[in-house]
Amino acid sequence: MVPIIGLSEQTHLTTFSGDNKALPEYMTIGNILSQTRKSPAQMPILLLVLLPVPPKFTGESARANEAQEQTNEDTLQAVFDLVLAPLQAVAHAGMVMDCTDGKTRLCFPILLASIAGHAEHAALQGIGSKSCPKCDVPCEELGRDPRRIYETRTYMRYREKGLRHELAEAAGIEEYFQRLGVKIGNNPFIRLDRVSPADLHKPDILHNIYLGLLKDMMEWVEGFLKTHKRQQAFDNRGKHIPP
Amino acid sequence: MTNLDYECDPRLEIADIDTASGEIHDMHNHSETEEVSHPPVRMRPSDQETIPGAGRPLGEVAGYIQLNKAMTDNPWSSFSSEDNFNLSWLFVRSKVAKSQIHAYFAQGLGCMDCRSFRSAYILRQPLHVLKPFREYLVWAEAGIDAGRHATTFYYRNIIDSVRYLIRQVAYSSNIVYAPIGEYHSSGERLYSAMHTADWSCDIQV
Repeated sequence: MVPIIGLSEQTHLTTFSGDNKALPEYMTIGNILSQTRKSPAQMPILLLVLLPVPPKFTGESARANEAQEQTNEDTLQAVFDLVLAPLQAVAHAGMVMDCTDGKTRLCFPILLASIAGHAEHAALQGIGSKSCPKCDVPCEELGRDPRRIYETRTYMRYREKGLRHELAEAAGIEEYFQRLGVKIGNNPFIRLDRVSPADLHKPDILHNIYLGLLKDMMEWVEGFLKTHKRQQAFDNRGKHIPP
Repeated sequence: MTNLDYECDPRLEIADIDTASGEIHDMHNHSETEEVSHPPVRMRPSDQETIPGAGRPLGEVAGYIQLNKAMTDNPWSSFSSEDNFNLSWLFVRSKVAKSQIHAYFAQGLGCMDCRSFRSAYILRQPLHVLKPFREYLVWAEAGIDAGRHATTFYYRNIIDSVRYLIRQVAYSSNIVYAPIGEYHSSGERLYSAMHTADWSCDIQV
C-alpha cells in the first residue's frame, strides 16, 4: 500500500504578476518515515500541480460575481479530476513498481489524506465556508453540543441525490443542501475507489492548530493570567520547557 | 505512558524485545516517583504484528546493482571532482547570480581543471543530470477555460510521482513497505508512524 498525502495552500503572487493567486498542490507518500518526510532538506514533497486561481469577483454585478465563483470551483474540480484520474486505474489491480531497496513490489497508490486550510477543503469538497468537511453538522450547530455525534458525510449520496433531482427537475434540493452546508456540484474524490472523501480532511497545523486553536486558547489563558497577576510566573515556567 | 514519547522502530529485532520491555517498565516507574520535567524519552514497542505477504518483493529491479556501483565508484558524478562539486554547491546554496558566476571565472578565480565548468551555463548541465529518476518528474501542460479567463496550467503524473519517491535512493533506510501493528508490554496498541495505524492494516490487500 502506498498512501498518498496531498498538501495545498493558496499563495499570493502579488509581487510578480499583479493581484493574482496560485494554488499549488503538493504530494508525498506515507511509506517514507515521518522523520524524513518532515525534513525539507530531503525533499520528500513534490509539486504535483500549479493552478492559477482566476479572480473571485468580476467587478460587475453580484450575479456575475456568483457565476465567476461557481466557474472557479468547477474549474478547480475539473483539474483535480484530471490529476487524480491515474489513481483510479490502479486502485484495484495495483502496479508493479521499482523500490529503493532494489526489489519490485505490487503497489497500490491510494489517496489517504489532504492537508490544507479550511478554505481549500471547502472548495475541493464542494461545501460552504462554514461547514464541516467530515460530518453532517449544520453550521448553526457548530460548537454547541460537543457530546452530540453527527453522521459522517457521504459525498457520493449528495452527488446521487443532486443528479436525481436534476433529472426529475424537482424543487427543494437547494434547501436540502443548504441545511447540510453542501453546494450542489462535483467532488473530485468521489470517483476514486477505496477513498473516503470525508476522511481525507486533515487539519493544517499552521492555520487550524497554531493560528486557530492555540492562538484562541492562548488569548483566553493570557487574559485569565493577567486578571490573577500570574503571567510572569507562567512565562518563567514556559522558559524551562525544553525545545 | 502519558509522559513518554513513543517512537516506532521499523527495524525492531526479536532480540530487542526483552530489553525494550524492561526499559519501558523502568521508565514508567521513574516517571511516577519524580515530578520534575525531563526531556522526552524514546522507547520501543514490545511486540509487533505483521500481515503475511504484505510488502513482499516480486523480483529484482533491473540495473539496480550497476546503478549503485556507479554511484559508489564515482560519488561526485556528474561533477569532475569533489572540488568541482563543492564550488557548485557553494554557488547554488549562496544563490549567486549568473552574472556573478561569469565574473568569477572571467577574473581567473576558477580552478584550472580543464573538465571543470567555466560558466553558469555549463554549471547547469551536471545539475540537471544530478537527480536520478528525473524522467518520472516531467511536466504535462493543459488548458482550462475558467469563464473569461482561459489559461494554461502544468501538472505531473501522480503515479509517476509515486514511483519517483518510492525508488528514491536517498530514502532507502527510511521507507517501509508494509503495515505493522505495534503493542506495549501491557498489550495496548501503540501508534506512531502512518504504517502503524489501523487504516494501513484495514486497507491492506
